[in-house]
Amino acid sequence: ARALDSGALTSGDLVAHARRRVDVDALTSNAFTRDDKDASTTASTGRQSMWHRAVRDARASDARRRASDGGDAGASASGGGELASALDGVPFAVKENLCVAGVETTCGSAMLRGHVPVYDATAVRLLRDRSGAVLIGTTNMDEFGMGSSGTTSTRGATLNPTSSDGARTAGGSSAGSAAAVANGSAFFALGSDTGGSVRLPAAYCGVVGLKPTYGRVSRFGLIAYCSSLDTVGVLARTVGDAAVVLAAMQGEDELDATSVERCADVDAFARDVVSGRMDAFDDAPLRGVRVGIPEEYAVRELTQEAYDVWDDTARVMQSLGATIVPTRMPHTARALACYYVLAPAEASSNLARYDAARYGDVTHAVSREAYLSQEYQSAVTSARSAGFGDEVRRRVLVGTFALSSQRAAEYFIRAQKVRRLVAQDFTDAFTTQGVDVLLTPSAIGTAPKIADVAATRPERAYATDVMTTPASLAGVPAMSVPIRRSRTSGLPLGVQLIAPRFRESTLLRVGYAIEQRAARGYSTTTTTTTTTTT
Amino acid sequence: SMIVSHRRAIYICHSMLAHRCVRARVTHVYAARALSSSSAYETVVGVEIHTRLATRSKLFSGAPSTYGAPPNTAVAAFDAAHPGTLPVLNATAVALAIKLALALESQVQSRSSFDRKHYFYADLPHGYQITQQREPISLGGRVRIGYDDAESGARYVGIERVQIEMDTGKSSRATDVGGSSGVSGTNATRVDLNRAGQALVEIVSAPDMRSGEDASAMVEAMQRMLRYLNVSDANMEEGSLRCDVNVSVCTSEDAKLGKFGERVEIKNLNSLRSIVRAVKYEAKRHVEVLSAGGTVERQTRTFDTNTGKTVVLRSKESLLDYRFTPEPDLPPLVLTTADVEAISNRMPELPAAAFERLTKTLGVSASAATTILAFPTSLKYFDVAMENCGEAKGVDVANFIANEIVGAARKDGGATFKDPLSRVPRAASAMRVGQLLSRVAHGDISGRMAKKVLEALMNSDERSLSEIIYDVCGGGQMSSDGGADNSLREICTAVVSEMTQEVKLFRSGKTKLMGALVGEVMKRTNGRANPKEASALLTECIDAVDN
Repeated sequence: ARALDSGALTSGDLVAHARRRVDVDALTSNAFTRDDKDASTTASTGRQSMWHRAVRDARASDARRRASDGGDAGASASGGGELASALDGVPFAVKENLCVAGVETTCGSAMLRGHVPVYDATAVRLLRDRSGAVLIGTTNMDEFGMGSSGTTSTRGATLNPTSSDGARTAGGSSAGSAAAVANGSAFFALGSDTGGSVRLPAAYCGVVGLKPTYGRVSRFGLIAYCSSLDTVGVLARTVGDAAVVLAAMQGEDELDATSVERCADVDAFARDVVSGRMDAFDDAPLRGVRVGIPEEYAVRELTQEAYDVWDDTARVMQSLGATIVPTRMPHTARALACYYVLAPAEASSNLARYDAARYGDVTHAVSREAYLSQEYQSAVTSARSAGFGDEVRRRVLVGTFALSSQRAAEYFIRAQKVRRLVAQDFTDAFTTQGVDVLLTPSAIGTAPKIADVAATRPERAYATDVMTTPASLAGVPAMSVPIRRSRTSGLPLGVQLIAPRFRESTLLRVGYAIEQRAARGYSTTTTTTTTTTT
Repeated sequence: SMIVSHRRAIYICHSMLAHRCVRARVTHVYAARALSSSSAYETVVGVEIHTRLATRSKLFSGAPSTYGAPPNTAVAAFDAAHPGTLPVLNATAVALAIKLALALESQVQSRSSFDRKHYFYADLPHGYQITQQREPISLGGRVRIGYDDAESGARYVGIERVQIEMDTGKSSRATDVGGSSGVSGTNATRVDLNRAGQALVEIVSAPDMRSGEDASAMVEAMQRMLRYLNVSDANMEEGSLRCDVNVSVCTSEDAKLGKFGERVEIKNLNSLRSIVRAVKYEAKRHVEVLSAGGTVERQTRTFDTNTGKTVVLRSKESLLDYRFTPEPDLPPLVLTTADVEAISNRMPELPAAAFERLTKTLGVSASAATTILAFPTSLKYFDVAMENCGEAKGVDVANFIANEIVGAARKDGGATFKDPLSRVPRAASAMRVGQLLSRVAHGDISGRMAKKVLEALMNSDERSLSEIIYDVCGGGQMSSDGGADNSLREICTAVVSEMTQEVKLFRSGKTKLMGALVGEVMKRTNGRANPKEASALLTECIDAVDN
């Protein structure tokens, strides 16, 4: 963005560059959705016109910048103006479950093949129409957000661009968005986070992944997986970028009854970032901040290097002025099971609409004639069997079971109670124990190999979400910040920060401080560290 | 193979049951006779009313809430369940539901919430209906049925709950689908989503009714209430009011203890008559089953208006599991006392109160009052007529409207048109009718003349009343205190001298014959004479002849 401000680069340059990266991506990460070469339906997916618009938007953005340069000659404009123009002309990508008018949006599912929404998701609209950001593509994802490895899409797996030793997962479900930011195709990307779908791929791909408080960003246009947990999140290269993007899309939306009014503190922090006020050196930026370390996150599956990063970061935060507070969150261990009852239950409800009658093209499996010649119930059964992948079918079945009148008390209702207990843990930590922000690992380890994921049983695969699901259940904001590469595999490792509801500004300021420190390397402070074994 | 044999077992059970039913029918003739004399069984009825709220847009989307538009022309993306869309609650719908709850003396809840009710059907695009299962907008309450409280005490039916929910689309069997859709078969189903997402309230009654007539009266009372409140047009023909009834039978002792029999739900009754017939049939069926030693099964049935019988829609085994879940896209609906008060301060007069006012204060007969109160438009008509009727009494105004105007308007409106005074011609406005009746009260014209004038008014005669009266009745009623007095006296004298037989009999004590004499006078004056005056003059003449 600063390069755009100085005139060193134009948005047109960036978009042309992004276009080349996206073309290369087909051969490398498979982060972006693309049209089938052989399909005759290419014209209707809207990707060509999306590129035409990207080029037009970039030119318009360049024209705006030239005009304002002539106007006030680079003088510092008002804070609002700075923030408003920070994203002008910046290329970004959007996860394929956020509706983009005129562009095929399938959620990685055969069930929605050929589905072209007629409206933009509110988050997308705000970025494009109000902030001037340029949409360069939609990104691959686990089918309907159900997956933690980016492998359940009908478009094939997204590969981790940071891997140098064969095919590794990019994490999921916002796999393509994380990979697109990591490989430099997009400056930032939108994802969605239901149980960790932004934070986990961010950790695996070494980018910043921000999940805001439930309600902070409108869900209108986000194709629902688990409505009471779904949030629109940001994948970005830096904490500052994430803040600017969040500021651009936050706020109450009359189209989403669960959205809340915008937070001035987030805007203030984003302005500080854009104006360069955050660049001023502060040797103890975390003075007075109480950082909670919940010991329940030290699970058996946590790898040594993930533990070390967590431990080192706590020490670094202490050196930056923070107070470290050991914190008890007794219901953490229950969160994963709770999530895997609630999310499938809501998913079974949200996915009930996919009957292939009004949208979605399942003709690859069931011809229209065959579909229409059956009774409704059997037509829907055949279409859903063909349209949903294994993981989606598994979760819809689990969810339907958990909601059945015979089992609801045992599963769904009980899971709701557990959810309240998990949320209560966070309330206790933030109020009774006086913690400002919690520090945990982002993931139990580095990105696994795709071959290993394929061989893992589902319930084992679900364990990768153990670090991220508690914050989702509590609806609190959380962010994964990349810290360093593994010394053995070279893969990224990160930590997760969790703040009280609607305190994204705390999350961002603390995350910014850690990020700045991590950029200089922890080595000076960590030489004396003796690793404790668990 | 386990499953298969299990299924077969169920099937066999079914056929055994069917067998027993047949036997029951044979034996029932005696049983039913014995029962009807001792009336050992009591029918217990509860109703569920779904009524479309009179909102401009749908419950959760901005699409217009209309009836009769071309198929699929009033559909927003949300109504078609497009991915990514979210429900936005219509504030007017909530206000109307509160208004209804207040009128039903129901307890408006400070917090209510929405749930999803799941099932797969072609006209349910989401795969679920958004409703209020756990926390409805109001609980409790009652509705008064009929107006006969003066004689037999007030009759009330308890209300259990009022809940807000969205309507489904409409599917219909089409026999001539073909061409573009690629379906050439005859058994296609057509789906119209215009209705999908329209705002409904469901009103659930307590099992307080004991017959189909009770249930029908309850629904009629609800219709009236909904119309007075402007909450719904409550039109059963257009489906803006739909009714399900729950029927069970039990012995009167058990009924007193609240121990009801197994209930059967009859879905979608679309007229008051059907309600009466369906309940009657179903109760009889239960008694037959029970008296043959069988047990009534929990079922959902439908009523066939052609045969007058109920038919099984879903049996106990196949009752749907709706998998209720909280609606995560809508936060709980929280109402403050101020919200509710704002609505309660603007409540219109309700039918029960209006009935009191008409019968007690104005002395209107119960039957005329009932006719006038059937529709808010006719009550409004009555009230405006009253404001313009001068000395005329409320009773007379009510009778004229109930007997003359409603009848005439019905005739003009056609058989299917229910709300008679909503479209009377401008010439027959309530104001002009009031003025007309004021002239009757003043003695300017007779009641009979007024009817003639009304005929002209109903034919859109927009001239001034005086002109019409002059035209129709030749200048109004003959009056004794004007020049016309002499001519009326002359006519009376003539009648007395010509109808000697009648006069003779009258003198001998057959005073009823005065009627015939007055009739003759009226005939000769073309109805312009005041019958009372004619009668007085005739008496005078007869007495004069006597002397």
